[in-house]
Amino acid sequence: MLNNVLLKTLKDKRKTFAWWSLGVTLLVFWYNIMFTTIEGVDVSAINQMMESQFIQGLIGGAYDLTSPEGWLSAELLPLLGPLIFIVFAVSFATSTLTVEEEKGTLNLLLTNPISRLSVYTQKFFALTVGLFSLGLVFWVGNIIGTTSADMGLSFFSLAEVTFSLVLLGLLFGAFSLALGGLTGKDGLSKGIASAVGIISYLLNSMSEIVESLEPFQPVSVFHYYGGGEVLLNGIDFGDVGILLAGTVVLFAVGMYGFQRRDIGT
Amino acid sequence: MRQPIIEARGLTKFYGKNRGIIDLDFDVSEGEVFGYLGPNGAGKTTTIRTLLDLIRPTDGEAKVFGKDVRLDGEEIRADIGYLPGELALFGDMTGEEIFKYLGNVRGGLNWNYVEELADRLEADLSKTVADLSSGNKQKLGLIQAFMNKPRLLILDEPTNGLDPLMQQEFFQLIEEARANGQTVFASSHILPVVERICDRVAIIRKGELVTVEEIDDLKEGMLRSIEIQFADRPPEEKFKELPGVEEVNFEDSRLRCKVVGRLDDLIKEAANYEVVNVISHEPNLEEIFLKYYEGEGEGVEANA
Repeated sequence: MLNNVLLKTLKDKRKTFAWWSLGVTLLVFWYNIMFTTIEGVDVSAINQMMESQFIQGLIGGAYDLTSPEGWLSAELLPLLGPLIFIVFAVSFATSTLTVEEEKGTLNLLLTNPISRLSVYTQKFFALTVGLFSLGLVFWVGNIIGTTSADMGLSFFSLAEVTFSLVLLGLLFGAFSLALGGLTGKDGLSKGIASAVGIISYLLNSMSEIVESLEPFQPVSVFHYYGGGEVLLNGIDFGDVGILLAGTVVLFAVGMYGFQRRDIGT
Repeated sequence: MRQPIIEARGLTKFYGKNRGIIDLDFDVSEGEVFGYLGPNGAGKTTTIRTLLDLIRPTDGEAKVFGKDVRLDGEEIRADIGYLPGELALFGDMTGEEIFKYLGNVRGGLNWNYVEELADRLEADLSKTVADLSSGNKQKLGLIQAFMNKPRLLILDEPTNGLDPLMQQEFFQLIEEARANGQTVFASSHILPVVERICDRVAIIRKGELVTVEEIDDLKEGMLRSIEIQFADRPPEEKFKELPGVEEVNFEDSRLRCKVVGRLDDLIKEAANYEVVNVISHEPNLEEIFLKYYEGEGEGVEANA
């Protein structure tokens, strides 16, 4: 039963979501299981490599690969996790707004007695529900993996780091939704959001090793995501606040643009 | 005087530097079937999309039901049924799913009426839209516009893709809407469609309103090509003398000419001879536009 735009949007995404869930579960499970292969291996070479500032920059810190936290922090948390959540968020956000606008179905919807405010808000909530669902899948996948590999990671810490991934995704989702709200252009919304994601990642990681970039680190969204740090030291509520505040601002800006402009021209 | 349902005042829309519509002024009264005629690209869809608050005018204002389309759009659209010119339905849904969804968004739907409409238009509500032909999609579009028995129907090129039989059914639906006191605003680039259903017609060309007239008055001033096949060739000068008949040209016993307004004089003269066949070509839009651009109302005067 499709009562409203929110449910309709979620229903539209159910097949895509099923595939994403399968992929994420397999990836996360596999990644955790791989931890068992590192036991018994002489990791001194790897740890030596870890001392390279360049590697530290790429993964956001020096981690002990033989510890469960260090293992996840080496690749899954700094790189793959954000990639998964950002790509999911951007494609979800644009498919609900700009893709529908270019197809003309948004046009049809808006000629009904429904305000743009309501449509945009419901699309945003659908994005939020989608991201939290993906977060749940990611979390459960990690729990299964870490339990199978007997890594003894705290489920709560995993939940914390998953939560910060969801927030990172939400910020980028809100960003591409805002670009869509302002311009209505699908390629532009996807492209700019992705580009900013990549630049943001590079800026954050490079500023770990390039001193002259350090003052600019706070500009990068990734700076507030934390990654492996969250797993080790718990979530930083200041960072959470900044990610959420950014999302709210982007939501408002996108809404402002969407209210004012011409639809589907 | 009846309440105006649509009021456009100096309505203007530019897309950047490109012309959309320029300084439109017109009224549509309650219960009227109003035709909006113009060639493709004239600005018909731009006008309609402004009324629905999908696009925002550069200048001027439009009111529907006496309310501003910008400020009270949501309230206004509750009483509008709209058929888009380029219909885009949710491709992966069936007609039934779409109507129930839109019904929920609108806050209510008379399902029996939907079924009745589907029956009359022979529309298939159980097939996914992606599997339907464009004509069958258009039927869903029409049902979607009519299903809430709205106070105002805005139909953009409603006969697109409909076969002649379905066009008749559509004309019937318009007649019923008229009988119910609903107001209809229908755009078309096809003159006979507008002629068939409308009381009044606005003609738009290159974004500007050329004229707003009763359909009967418009027809009065039209230049129409007529061919009459006689059994034997009648005297040519008899026809050249007729008022309102121009470009008289005989080819053996076949007469070709152009007539402004009523055909009465020509037919009465022709009736003095043995007539084998009469062919009347519908005046096309371009001819009407040419008339309006050569000199406004010239044809009407000649006929008066």
